[in-house]
Amino acid sequence: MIKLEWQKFSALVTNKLSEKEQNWFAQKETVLSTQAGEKKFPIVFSLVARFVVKDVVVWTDEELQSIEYIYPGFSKGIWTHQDIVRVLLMLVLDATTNKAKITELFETAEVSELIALLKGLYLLENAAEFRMHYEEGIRTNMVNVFDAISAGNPFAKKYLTEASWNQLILKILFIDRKLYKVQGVDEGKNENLANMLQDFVMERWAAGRTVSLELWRMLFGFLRDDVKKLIVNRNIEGNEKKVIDCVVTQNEQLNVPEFWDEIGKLN
Amino acid sequence: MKYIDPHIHMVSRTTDDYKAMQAAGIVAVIEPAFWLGQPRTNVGSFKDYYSTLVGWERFRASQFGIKHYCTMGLNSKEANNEAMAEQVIELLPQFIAKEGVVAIGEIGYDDQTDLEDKYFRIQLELAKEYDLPVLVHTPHRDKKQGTLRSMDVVKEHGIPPHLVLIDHNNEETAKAVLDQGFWAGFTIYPKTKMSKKRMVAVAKQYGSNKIIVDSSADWGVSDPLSVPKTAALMLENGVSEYDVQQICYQNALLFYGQSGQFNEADWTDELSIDQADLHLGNSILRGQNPEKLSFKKEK
Repeated sequence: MIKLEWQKFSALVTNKLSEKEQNWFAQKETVLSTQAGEKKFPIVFSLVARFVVKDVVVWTDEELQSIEYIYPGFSKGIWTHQDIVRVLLMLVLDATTNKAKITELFETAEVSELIALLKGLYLLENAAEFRMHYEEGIRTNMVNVFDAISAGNPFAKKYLTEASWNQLILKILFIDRKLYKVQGVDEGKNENLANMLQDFVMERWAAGRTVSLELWRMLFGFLRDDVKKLIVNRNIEGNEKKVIDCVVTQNEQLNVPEFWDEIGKLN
Repeated sequence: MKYIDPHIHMVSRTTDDYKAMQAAGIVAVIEPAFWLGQPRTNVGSFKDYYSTLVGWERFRASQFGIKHYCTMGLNSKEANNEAMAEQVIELLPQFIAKEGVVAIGEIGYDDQTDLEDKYFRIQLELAKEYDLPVLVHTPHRDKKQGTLRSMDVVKEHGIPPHLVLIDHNNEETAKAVLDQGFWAGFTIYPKTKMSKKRMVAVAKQYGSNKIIVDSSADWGVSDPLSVPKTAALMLENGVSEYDVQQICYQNALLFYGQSGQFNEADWTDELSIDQADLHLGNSILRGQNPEKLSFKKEK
C-alpha cells in the first residue's frame, strides 16, 4: 500500500478507537519503530487482548465508503477494536523486515490473532510475499479463521493463483459459508472452477444431498451437457429452480450481482 | 448448578466428553500445559502444543458451548531435559502474553531434581513479570515434602500465597497449604489421588474457603465429569449448597479471575452455537445433522 493510502486508512480507523486505546497504540508504535523494539512485536500483538476491547466497530456509511476505496470489501467483514489495533501494529513494521516477524507470529498465533493477521495482509506494502500464509488459511479447520479470509477480504482476488482461488471458492461452498461475501467473486469465475463445481454437484446429487444455491453463480456461461441432462431429470422448485433456470437459459438480465447477493442472504 | 473444571487436559479427550460435560453443567474449563505421556524431544513440539492450546482446542471447546482457557508453563518432568528446557523458556513469553492464558502452570516438582528446581524458579519469576497467578503441580512421590518445599520456594520468590494454587492435595497436605494462605486444589480420580468420598470428608472438615475441586482428566484413567459428580455426592452427604458452589465454581473464578483473563461474563452472556455454521467435511461435525444449541444456563 502506498504511503498516502496508509495514512488515510490509519486516520480513519484510529478515529474509532477510545482515547485509552489510541494512547496505548501510540506508545507501542514508538517502541516497535526502533530496531531493538521490533523484537517485541509478537508479544505486543498478543497483549492487545488485555488493553483493547473486543467490541465490533460500528461505521458510518461515509466512513465505509472511504475505507472501501482503500480496502475493497471492507464493509462485508466484521472488524473489532482489537482487529483494528493489530492491523495497525502490522503496518508499523518496516516492509524490508516484516516478513520474518509476521511469519514468526503466524506460527504461534491464537484464534483472534490469526483472524487479524489474515485481514491485515492486504494492507502491507509487500502483501504478495505473504501468499503462502493466506493459502494456509484456506486449509484451516477453524471456521472463524476461514471467515477472515473468505468474507470481505480483497487479498484473495488480487494475489492468489487461479488454483488457490478455486480451492477457496470450492471450500466455501463445501462447508456452507457465504459466497456473496467474497470480494471480487464474479470476476473470479473461470472454467476450471466451474468444472470442479459441476463435479461437486454431481457427487452431491448422486448421494441424495443438495448444494448451496450460491454455487450456480459461478456456473453462468460454463454449464456442461452432462449436468444439463441431470437437471432435466431432476425435480426442482422454488429458489433452486430460479437460480438453475437463470444459468440454463443464460438469462443475462437476471445474472447481476444484486440477484445473486439476495440468493446468498437467504437463510 | 453450573461448574468450572479448572484443571483438565482436553487435547486427550473426545467430543463425547465435551458433550457430556456440557450436559452436566460445565461452562468453562482450564487446560494447564503439561506433558503428553510421551516425552518431547525438541522445542518445536512444545511450540505446536502451546499453539494447540490457544488455537484448535479453544475452537473445539467452543463448538460444544464450553469456554476454554489455559495456563502456560514447562512441566516438571520435561524440565529435566536441560538443553530443551532452555529453549522452551525462551519460547514461553510469546504464549504467556496471549488472550485466555490465566496462569503460569502447571509447574513445580516431580522427582525434585536440581533441574526441576531451576526451572520452577525461573517460571515463578515469569509469573511476576507478567503479573499472573501460578498453578503448582505437587509430586506423586514424596508428596508431603514436595508440597512443603514448593510453598517455601514460592515464598522465597516473594509471590503472595493468594496468587498461588497448590494442586493435587490430599488429607496429608491440605492443612499446611490452607494454613499458609494458599489455595488448595483437589484432583478427583477414579482410583488414585483423591476419591469423591474422601473429598466429601475434606469439605466437611475444612469448609469451602480457598478449596477447589478439579478432574485433571487426561490420557490416563480419569473422569471428565469428576467435578459435577463430586458436587452431587457432597450435596447428598449434607455439604451445604453454598459450599458446593464455592468449591466447584466460585473459587476457581476468584482465583483465576486474578489474571484479568477469566470473566464470568464470557459464558453468562448467552452463548449460542449454530453447528450448521460449521457443518460437514473439515469441521468437527462429520455428516451429522447440525444442531442449534443455546447454552444459557440458569443457576
